[in-house]
Amino acid sequence: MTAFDETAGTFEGRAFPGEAEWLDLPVPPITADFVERTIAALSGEGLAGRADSALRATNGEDRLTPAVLAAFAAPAPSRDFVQRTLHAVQEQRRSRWQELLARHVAPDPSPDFVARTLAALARRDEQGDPHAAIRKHPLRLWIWPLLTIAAAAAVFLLLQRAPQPPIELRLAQQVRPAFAHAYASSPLPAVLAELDRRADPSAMPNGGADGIWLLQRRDR
Amino acid sequence: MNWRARPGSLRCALLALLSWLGMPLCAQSAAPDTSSDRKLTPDGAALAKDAIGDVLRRLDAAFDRGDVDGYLAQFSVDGSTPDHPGAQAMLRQRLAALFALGVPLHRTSSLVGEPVRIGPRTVVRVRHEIHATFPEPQGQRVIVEDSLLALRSGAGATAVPTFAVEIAGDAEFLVGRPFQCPACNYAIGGVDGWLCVPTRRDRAQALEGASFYRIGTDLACDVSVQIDDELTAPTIVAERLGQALRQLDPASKPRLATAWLPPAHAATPPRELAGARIEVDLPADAASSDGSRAVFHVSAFGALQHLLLVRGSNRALRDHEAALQALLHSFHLLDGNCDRALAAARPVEHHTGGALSNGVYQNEKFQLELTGPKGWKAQQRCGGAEFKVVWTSPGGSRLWLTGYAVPPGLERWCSRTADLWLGDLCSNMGMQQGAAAGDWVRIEPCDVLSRSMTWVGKPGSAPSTLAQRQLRCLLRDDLLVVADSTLADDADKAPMRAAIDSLIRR
Repeated sequence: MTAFDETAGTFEGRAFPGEAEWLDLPVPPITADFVERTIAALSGEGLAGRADSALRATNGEDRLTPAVLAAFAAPAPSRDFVQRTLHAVQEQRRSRWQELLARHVAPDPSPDFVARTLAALARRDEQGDPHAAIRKHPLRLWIWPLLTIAAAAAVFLLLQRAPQPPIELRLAQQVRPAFAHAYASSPLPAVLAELDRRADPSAMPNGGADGIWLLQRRDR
Repeated sequence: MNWRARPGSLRCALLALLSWLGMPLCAQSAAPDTSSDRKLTPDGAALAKDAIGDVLRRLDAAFDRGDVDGYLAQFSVDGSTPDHPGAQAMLRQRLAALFALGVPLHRTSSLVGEPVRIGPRTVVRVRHEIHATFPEPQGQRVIVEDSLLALRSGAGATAVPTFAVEIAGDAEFLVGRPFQCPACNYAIGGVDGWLCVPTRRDRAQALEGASFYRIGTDLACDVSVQIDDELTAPTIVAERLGQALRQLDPASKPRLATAWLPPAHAATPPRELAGARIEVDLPADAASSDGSRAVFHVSAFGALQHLLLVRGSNRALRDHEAALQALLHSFHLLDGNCDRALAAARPVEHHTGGALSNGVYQNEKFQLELTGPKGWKAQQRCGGAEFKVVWTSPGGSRLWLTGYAVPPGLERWCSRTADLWLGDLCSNMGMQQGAAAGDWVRIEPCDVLSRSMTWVGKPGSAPSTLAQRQLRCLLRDDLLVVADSTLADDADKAPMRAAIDSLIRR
């Protein structure tokens, strides 16, 4: 008979105890050398030693020999290890910053950039600009000032936002109208109710009902 | 209110331009003065009742027409602006809610008591009886609201309203006398030119609340009594208040909290007294072109906290600095040597009627009792509910007992309104009613209705939403009581059930 019978759900012929029954189970027999063995195991060779022992126990032979362990040992650092590491880190930071700044900083113009640009503009003037007549049209001269005035007017109107209601109403609007303190003339009750909610979040709100709100609902 | 169409905004822009061009004096002298009154009655003489009666008739007529703009226009006769734009905005909000009932409304307003002269204004208490005709079976309902109305004299012998604010029905407004509560161990007020308006607890979200209005200006100071069993340092409380305000209104900018003591105790402070304040800059709004400010003051005597929130336009705060300091100076503890534990327990018992003893909550005012599970931490909390108690098990399970007063505008609770309120709470917590919800059952000897139900998380609700809540509700004409719980440890199930079942009306 196997120890665990999956079909019957029994172990060594007994039903597996429920969670509550665990505490009522008889204490397993303790051998005389239990304490000594436990202390010896705890004061053994640490984690590696315990793992080693476990491997020995399962396979019956040493697998983690000193030679094997030596293969995983970290090599001794070279003399210039620190300098090389620091240099590598700084190089990496420098290239990273360069990459980031390159996205935002335009390259310097070449020395002859200004000369070439001025020459090109001079050539265009000599050949005649087809759009010059349009730019000099009297209507065109008025458009920019008019647009500027319109923009200023729009900004002024946008700044003329609706004034806020008084603090009493602003806070009352944060309270559900079912509560009596939603109609208080002072903002203090709303603040106190908020503090009460924070102090005992799972409790029912510590506020009374408003009768007019109840009458409204009752009539529906 | 249509905040876009404000007369004088172009004028403000021109004045700002003048100021920017280097003519600040010119701009300042021409700026609108909300604090001045162009037509004052002679000092000491209140407006005649007839003139005030005319105003009430005009307001009632606009109300009956459902004309919000027409109603509020009464406050801006002759191009003047109302005294307090914030209160005016909330008045519009309230009127809109009433008109949203969608049924014929008829209002009759009458004076309660004599008109009183405060600074440049005449102040009267007004009772509004609103007759609402609902379809059957509801039929006719009467909604009673009390408000304070400030007026100035208009052309001829007429009166012009400048300010209206709701007042708790069972409270009196105070002029020239301090507002004090021996249970809450404080007094404030009695300073010339300030009107004290006590607020309903469910509107104030506090054990006790009142607002002081500097008559004729947009300056106000709110007083709120809180209990903090955690004994949080006042600077932290002030920081939290500032941050909570910023969370609700991202345009506001809290500064750093600093130590502060009520001026009356600054020289020789009682041993247990500590305090802090924080200023919050508020952006320019429809009423204050140069911005406004809110200043939270926290005075802590053990777990008992008195919060003072000063708010107003920067201009009003500047112009009325002396009057404001006089009001803040009037705040003082009635007994600076009383026992710290007693100082915190007394106001809760006085205002809620309840007390905890060995985990058992007893409420003498509403004759209720609930025996909490043994070994659980019990704590009373204050807020807008009539009372609230929470028991927490070592494993994290929680049991809450909350009492809701009759909501403003209703005469009493009924099962229909209770269901609406519970349904709204349930839905807004991301939950829905479980299948096995019982109906309201009358418990004869106690003359209360009782109902048990389960709320379960809505499919797809936020992960923070609790999976299930067990509720038991008791309903009386004057109170809705909800015992609800969440389970964090299976071992807490039985004691929690027993605690909920122990809720009785004695």
